[in-house]
Amino acid sequence: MRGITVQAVWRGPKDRLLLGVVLGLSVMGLFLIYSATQPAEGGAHVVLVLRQVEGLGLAVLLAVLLWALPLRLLEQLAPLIYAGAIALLVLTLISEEGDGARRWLSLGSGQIQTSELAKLATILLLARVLARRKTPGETLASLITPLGLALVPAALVILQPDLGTAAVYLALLGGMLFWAGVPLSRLFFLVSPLFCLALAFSLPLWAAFIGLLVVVILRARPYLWESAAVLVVNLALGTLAQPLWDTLRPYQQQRVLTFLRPDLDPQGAGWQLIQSKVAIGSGGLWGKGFLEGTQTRLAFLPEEHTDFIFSVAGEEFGFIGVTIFLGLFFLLLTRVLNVARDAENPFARLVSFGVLTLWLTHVVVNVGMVVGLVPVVGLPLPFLSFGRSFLVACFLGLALLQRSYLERWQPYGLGRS
Amino acid sequence: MPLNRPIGQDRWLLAFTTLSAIFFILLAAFVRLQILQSSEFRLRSEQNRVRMVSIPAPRGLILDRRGGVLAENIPQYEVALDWTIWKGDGPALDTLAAYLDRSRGWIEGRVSRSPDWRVRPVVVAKGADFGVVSRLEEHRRYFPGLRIQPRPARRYPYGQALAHVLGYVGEISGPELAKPQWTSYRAGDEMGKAGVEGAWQEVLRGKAGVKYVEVDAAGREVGLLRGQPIRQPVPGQPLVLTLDLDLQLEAARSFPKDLAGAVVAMDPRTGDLLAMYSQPTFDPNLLVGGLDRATWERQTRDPARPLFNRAVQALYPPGSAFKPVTAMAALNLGIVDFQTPGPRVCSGGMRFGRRYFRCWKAEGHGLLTLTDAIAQSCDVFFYQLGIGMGLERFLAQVSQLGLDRPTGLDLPQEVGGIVPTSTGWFDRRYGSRGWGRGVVLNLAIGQGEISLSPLHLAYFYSAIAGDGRPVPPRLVRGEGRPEVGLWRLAPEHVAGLREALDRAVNAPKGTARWLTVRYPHLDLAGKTGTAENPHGPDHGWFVGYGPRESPQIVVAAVVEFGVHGSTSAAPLVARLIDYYLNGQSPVRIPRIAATAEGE
Repeated sequence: MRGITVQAVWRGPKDRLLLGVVLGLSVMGLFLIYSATQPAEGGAHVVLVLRQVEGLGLAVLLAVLLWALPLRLLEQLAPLIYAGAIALLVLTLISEEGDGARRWLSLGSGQIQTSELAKLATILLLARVLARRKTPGETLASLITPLGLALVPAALVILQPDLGTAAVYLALLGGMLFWAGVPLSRLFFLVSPLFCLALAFSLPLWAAFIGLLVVVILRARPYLWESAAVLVVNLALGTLAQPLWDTLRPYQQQRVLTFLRPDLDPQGAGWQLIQSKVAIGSGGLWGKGFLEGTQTRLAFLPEEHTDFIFSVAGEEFGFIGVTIFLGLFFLLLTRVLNVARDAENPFARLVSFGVLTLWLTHVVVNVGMVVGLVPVVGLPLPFLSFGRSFLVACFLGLALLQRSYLERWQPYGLGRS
Repeated sequence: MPLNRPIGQDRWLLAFTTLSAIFFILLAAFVRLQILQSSEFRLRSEQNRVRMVSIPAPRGLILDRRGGVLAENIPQYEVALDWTIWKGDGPALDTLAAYLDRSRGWIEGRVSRSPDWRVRPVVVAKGADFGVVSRLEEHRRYFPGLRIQPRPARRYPYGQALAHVLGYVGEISGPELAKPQWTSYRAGDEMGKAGVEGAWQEVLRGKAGVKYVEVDAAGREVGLLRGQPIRQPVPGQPLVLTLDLDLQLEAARSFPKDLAGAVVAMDPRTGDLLAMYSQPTFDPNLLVGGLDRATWERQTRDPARPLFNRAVQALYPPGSAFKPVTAMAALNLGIVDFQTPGPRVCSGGMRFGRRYFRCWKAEGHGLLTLTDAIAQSCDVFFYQLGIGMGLERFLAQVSQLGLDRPTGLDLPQEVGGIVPTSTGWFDRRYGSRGWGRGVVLNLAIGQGEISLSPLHLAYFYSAIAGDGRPVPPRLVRGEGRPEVGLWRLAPEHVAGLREALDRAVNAPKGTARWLTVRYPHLDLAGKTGTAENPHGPDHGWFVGYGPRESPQIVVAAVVEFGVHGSTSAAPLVARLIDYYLNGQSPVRIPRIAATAEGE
């Protein structure tokens, strides 16, 4: 097998741009984390930064190791890896950690957030499953397997509870199905229940949506029973939505509403959003300067080294800084898109696009949340946010991308030769 | 196979377009926040982190005329809990509660009643003393979120003796905040209520300082804001009263226990108020910082009304102490002089209209001159004066004195007397047929529809003790002689009245003669008064001044239910005058049972 040695990998072809942007972002992240973790009274507080550096080292190490493995091996091992990840998720649920949210698993001296690893595992297995199909998504039934593969870890994560991360799995599914060539109409059918539920509370909108559904059905001409299934599900959800809502108790209803409209709860999540906007807005064009962010320093920004790290960037580096960061992310994601396009091997293509979807979802949700476009969901920002598990996962993703790039001329993987 | 060809350009294009659109939208959001709305957010970030903290100004001291401290500020501490940090640690809360002499439930109750506990520490103890605070500081690490702040509290070293004069301080109330003159106050500000504290609030309060403090999200002070100077507080100005502390304390000590009433002492030359004491009294120290509701209700509902300043707020019929006023009126109208006796003989009473009006001395006084009539307090003589003047002329004379209005003493609670000013007054009160000419007889002896405060009498008598001009009383030391009053006693009338008052105390048949018999060294003159009181035993009055030659002090006292004026009020006044002039006094004030009936 080619390229199993690290040295060979090191000297081999690599996407330098990708590498450079990732490392650059990671280093900038260190600066942001430093600024975000300084106490108000002054004095240097380096504990968290050093932990991130540790994480960075670990991430690089693991990434290099992964990079040395050929994709074919991963494709073979995908189900095993997936099973292992699910097992870890279950274990995480069982063990009691932290303040009620069971997201972490203690491993020796550290803790890992198992859902991060599970995301990668899901990407691998989904890629494998979808790569084998000739014409994926011709029937809705054929989509059940991938759907299930994404829903299982998603369900386990919801139970943690971590609604945001669960949503990432659905995004992954959607992205990879898209890249696998599933007809757009089928994708539409797949997401229709979600829209249906959301619109069920406004009769005219919901009716319009059903109308749209019918139009798409007529144009795409799926099998009859599929059409029926889609319609039935949507109609059922539409009629059941209101009664289902009524069975929820007030505090549960309140939870859902707060999730959707955090600004209605000025003490809780709404406050976070307000503070984030104040921090960013007050940064102006040039920002207040490194370490000079008053909102950051005085702890007005909550979770400033994790979920709201971009607000720190906004406050201290201003619009100019934000544009640079966003530009780097755009560059990164475009590059990944091109790797996903250029790879001959379907597995590689799908894995790459999976990583793209993963990173994009995190970036969009995190940055969107920070400016108030997206509900406050705690998704970290790749390479910038504090958090070692996620950093490792992102670097592993990088490794997969580098491998895809390396093997881009290799058209055949498992099941083809 | 569809997947073995490079993925359709259209999918790539769709993906790339979506990617670009997403980033464009994100960037636009930042444009909006950081370019378009930047200044608004800038302002808010400043408002977030900067807090204006007012530094309380020390309240001005109140001193007596010789510099004795009557009201001072003592260092006290306010203990508060930052509940956002505390996190409700159970055992620590119990310990803290024990230190503060409260229960844990009480502390939790306070927190739940504070609507802004997330932003501001909740005050759990207001007047903690140094001992408690130092113990808390020692064990500070067990009490996260503990905040201790020095907050000086007002203290009145002489408590009850000066309660009515000084008043007390408390937090400004809701209704007060709404008034236009208090717009510069904020909730929680200390404000003088009643007495000197209230009347001179603006002078005593000083001006709070301001410091700008940087706060973090938990509202904790992180430090002073760089580049912003502290505006130091301006301490309140000290107030020097005209009061004589020694005299005041003596008045409080000497006033008959268990009886209600008041005593007012003035300097007739300057109008300086030397003492003002009202009983029953209260301890203003208890009112500082606010009472709990139960105690407050008890005080205000107490039928004895301890919060009432009887020296200026209470009105009593002056009785015989009013006779010099009647004399003055008759003298002014020229219907009488000091030496001419009669015309009528006092035989214990006289008939007028359909009624028989008695004199207090059943056997009668015989034929008297005005001087003796005053000294022996003959009612019949004065009935005649009243009849001779006629109601209209009498009232016209009396209303010149302005006793129906407050004297203008700088205390807010002063009230005007009840003094009929014309016959129309009676018409309004009783209807034009509801009263008869007999009212003038009662008025002439200070009974009936006339009620005055001790201050009013002191005010009138100070004209007699002085040069005939009344001197408006004042509580705060001022410069020079104050404005003179609007009326004047003719000098010969003053001399005559003084002679009469002298005889009342020093001549054989004077109603207060027993004083100088028992205490020959006393140098004073004055008038007794006994006011009939429909609610029970008579009230006793005495107004006196001393020394007789160039008087330096006028004292008016009323003792409720004190029976005869000479019994209780006279020795009190005598003692105070003696004390004032000589530094001590042997005069004893007889104990009177509180429920003595009649004679």
